[in-house]
This record gives sequence, structure tokens and C-alpha cells, in this order.
Amino acid sequence: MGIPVITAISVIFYILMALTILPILRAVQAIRRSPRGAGRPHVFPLPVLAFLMLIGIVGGAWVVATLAVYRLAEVVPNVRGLLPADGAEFVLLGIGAVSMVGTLILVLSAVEVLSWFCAEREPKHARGPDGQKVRPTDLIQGGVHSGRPHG
Amino acid sequence: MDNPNLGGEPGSLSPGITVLIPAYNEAESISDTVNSLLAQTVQPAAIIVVDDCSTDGTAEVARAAGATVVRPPKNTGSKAGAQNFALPLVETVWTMAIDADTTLAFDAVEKLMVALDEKEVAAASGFVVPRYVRTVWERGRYVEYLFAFSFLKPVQDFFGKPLIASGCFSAYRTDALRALGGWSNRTMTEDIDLTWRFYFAGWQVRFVPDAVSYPIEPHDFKFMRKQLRRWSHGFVQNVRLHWRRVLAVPTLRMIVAVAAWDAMVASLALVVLLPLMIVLFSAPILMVAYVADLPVVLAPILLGAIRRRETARALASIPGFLVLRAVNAFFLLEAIWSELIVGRPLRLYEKGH
Repeated sequence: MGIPVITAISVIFYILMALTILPILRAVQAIRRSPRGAGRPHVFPLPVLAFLMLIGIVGGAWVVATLAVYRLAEVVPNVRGLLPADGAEFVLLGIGAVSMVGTLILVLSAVEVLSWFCAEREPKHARGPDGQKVRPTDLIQGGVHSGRPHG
Repeated sequence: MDNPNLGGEPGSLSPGITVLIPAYNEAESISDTVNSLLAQTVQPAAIIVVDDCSTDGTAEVARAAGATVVRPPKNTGSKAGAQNFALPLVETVWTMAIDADTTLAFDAVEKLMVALDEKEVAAASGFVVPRYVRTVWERGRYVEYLFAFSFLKPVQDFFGKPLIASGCFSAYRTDALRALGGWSNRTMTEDIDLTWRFYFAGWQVRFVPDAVSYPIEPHDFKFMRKQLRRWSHGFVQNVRLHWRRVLAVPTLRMIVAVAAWDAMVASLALVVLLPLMIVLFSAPILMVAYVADLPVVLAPILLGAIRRRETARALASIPGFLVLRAVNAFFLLEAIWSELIVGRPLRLYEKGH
């Protein structure tokens, strides 16, 4: 993968970042200005924007770094000698950055799965005071074993 | 619970707010703190300084400034201990905790109280800005706070789950605070512990960006090291202690997961992986990764700075932020290693300034 391809992909990320950061900041502003107790203001789903921005952070940072270094190489001849002709390090950097985002998504997914496993579930059959099995619906409807009055 | 007998009947509290200031050898800064409280647009019903057996005349200075001073029979060993010592003395509906080196904007208490009007809210905390921004450490902290309080906290607050009601400046519903047993000293960061316990008990916590406080931050590495160690170990200790209950709180678990990821994976990348790659591949150019996220991180930082008319100061402080970020990453990894892997938890509470 050559530098032009990397740069092109990064530019897409950069535009994505530019498109998402402003609505996020506007959303935060709207939230801050809304009076307490009046309910949350309607803003574009913040998690979606935050996720897009996360991708934008990676790509945007990547393109800025790439462009800055290669621009520097044009001006300072010594820097040119440091740069790989095929941009291998930058591919590595990009993979690293994407992997970082990947680990975050993995961690968040793991937390969701863990919370599902650890959640206290309503038992299929609860036990009444006499040890007899009762259905949850008996409890909800004020059945004999729920201790709630009938009717 | 550390102190089950914290006194006070829920119905017997009078309106108003009592300020608790734990202090150990704070003679230099305590009068500024008390004076800033006395100059508030909403006056506290009482200002209680807990002189935790200081040896520098803190009590005399605080008393001269106009505060009520109480003194435990011996040093309590932690901020939580000092605060709990004074909690039974609170007779008002609200209790505020503020550090002895922290001053407030003249309307900070008033602004904070607005959030506490909501019945389901048990705690509220405000915006924090370092009072002095001179050394590289103070500058780093200044930018770190701008980022956290201009961007991260408002987003967390939007979802109704600020990660922490900062211990240096927060207000609490007194009966809710007492019902939880006050502050706990089982971890190094009593504010995280308390905030999460409020969530577990069904209470809400708010972040109020307009209520501004100005603490004195560590000015050199010696003090910064102590503070970072305490904060890092405290976070890991709280995650370890509460992880099961955190999993049951939908948004909180996401926010804690992101913070834990940042503490572990991002720190690992910054302190271990990147230097390794630079050496192994003989590619110093990879050092750009250390600043690669700056364009995005700078956006909320600069917006926060522009709003405060401190753009030049923020820009000049960016190098400090980069240094502090790397040092912070190191201490987070050290805390994870010590607390979770080799089982050497931090137990000694050391002041960070």
C-alpha cells in the first residue's frame, strides 16, 4: 500500500472527524443550556456521533501525521532519508491505531456480555413460604404466596 | 461502611449547606479557602475545618479567618477519615466537601445548589481549574482539566453518570451521605467510591460546569508523583471493589470500561508498545504517534480555553500536557501491576501537595 492510498483513506477519516465533532460539541452545548428537569433536549444520538468521532480521531490523527512528516521531508532533505519508500511504518502505525479502536470495542462488548451474565434474573419458579413452587405471575398478580392482599 | 454511627436524623436537618474542609498542615492556603466561602452569593450555614492534628498552626489560621475548627484526638490518616469525623456535626440538608487548598468562584455554591434542587440528585460537583499554571506539571494538569471538564464530564453528565463527583469540590444530600456511611477510606480515592455507591443506591449525580473551583495542583514531580499514585491506585481499587455492581448500572459500566481501557490499553501503547516499536524497527519517525491525536484532543481544549479567554495559556501548556499524559500512563500501569498482579495494594494515604 503506497502513501497516496494511505493518505486518501486518511482524508476520508479526516472529513468524517470534521463532520462529527461539530455536532457533538453543539449537542453538548444544547445539553448544558437546557434547563434541569425539563427533560433531555433532542439531539442527534450522541453515542453514534461519539463512535464516528472515535474513528475520526484515529484516521484524522493518521493523516495529519502522514502529511506533516512528508511535507517536512520535502523541506528538510535529511528527513527524507528517515522515511521508508513504501511507507511501511505508516501502515504499521495505522494498523496499531485501528487495533487500539478494536480493543476498545472488544472491551465494551466484553463488559456488555459480562453484565448480561452477572445480571440477577427472575427465577422461572419462585418458592412460597411453604416451599411450594409458584409462578412469577402469581407474585405479580397478588397470589397466595406473594403476601399481597387479594383482589 | 467505615462509620455506621454518623448521627443525625434525616428529618431533623435545617435548610442550607454546611462546608467541611479536611485539613492537614494547610496553614498557607486555608485562609484563602475560608475567605472564598465567606464571599459566596449563597452563604454556607457553617464552615467547619477539620484540623487533622496539623503541626503548622492550621487551626489558628482557620479560626482567625472565621471558620469553626474541630480536631480529632489523633490524625485520622486520610481525607475520608477527617470528613467523617465532622459529618455528625452537620445540621443542614446539604453538606459540601472542599479541599483546604481550593478556592471557589464567588457564585460557585449558588450554581451548584441549583442541581441539588432535583429530588433524585444526591451529589453535584463543579468545574475545576488549577489556581496556578506555572510549572510544566501545573500546565499539564490545566490542559488535562480543560479536556476533562469541557468535554468528557458534560458527555458523562448527558447520560446521567458523571464518573466522579470530584472530592475537591462537591456537595451532597446530607441524609443520603449518612445513609451510605459517609466517606470510605477503604480505597485511596474516596470520591470515586462515594459517587459509585450513590449510583448503586439509586441516586443521581450531576456535573455543574458553571460552578468553578480553583485548587492548587502539584507544582513539582515529587508531589505530582504522590497524587498520581494515589489516583491511579484508587481507580484500580474501586474497579476491583465494585466491578460486579458497576456491571449492573448500564451507562456507568460503559464509562468505567472506557476509563479502564484508557488506563490499561492506551497506557500500555504509550509507555511500552510505542518505545518498543521505535527501537525494534529503528524508526524514530513513529514518535509522531505521541502527538497524533492532538488535532482532535485540541478541539475541546481550545473551545474550553476560548470560553475562558485563556487560549494563549492553553496553547503554551500543550507540551506539559503531553509530558503529564505519559507520566500518568506509567503510574496507571504501575497501579494495575501492583494492585491486580503482584497484590501489593497502596494503603498509605499521602497528600499530593
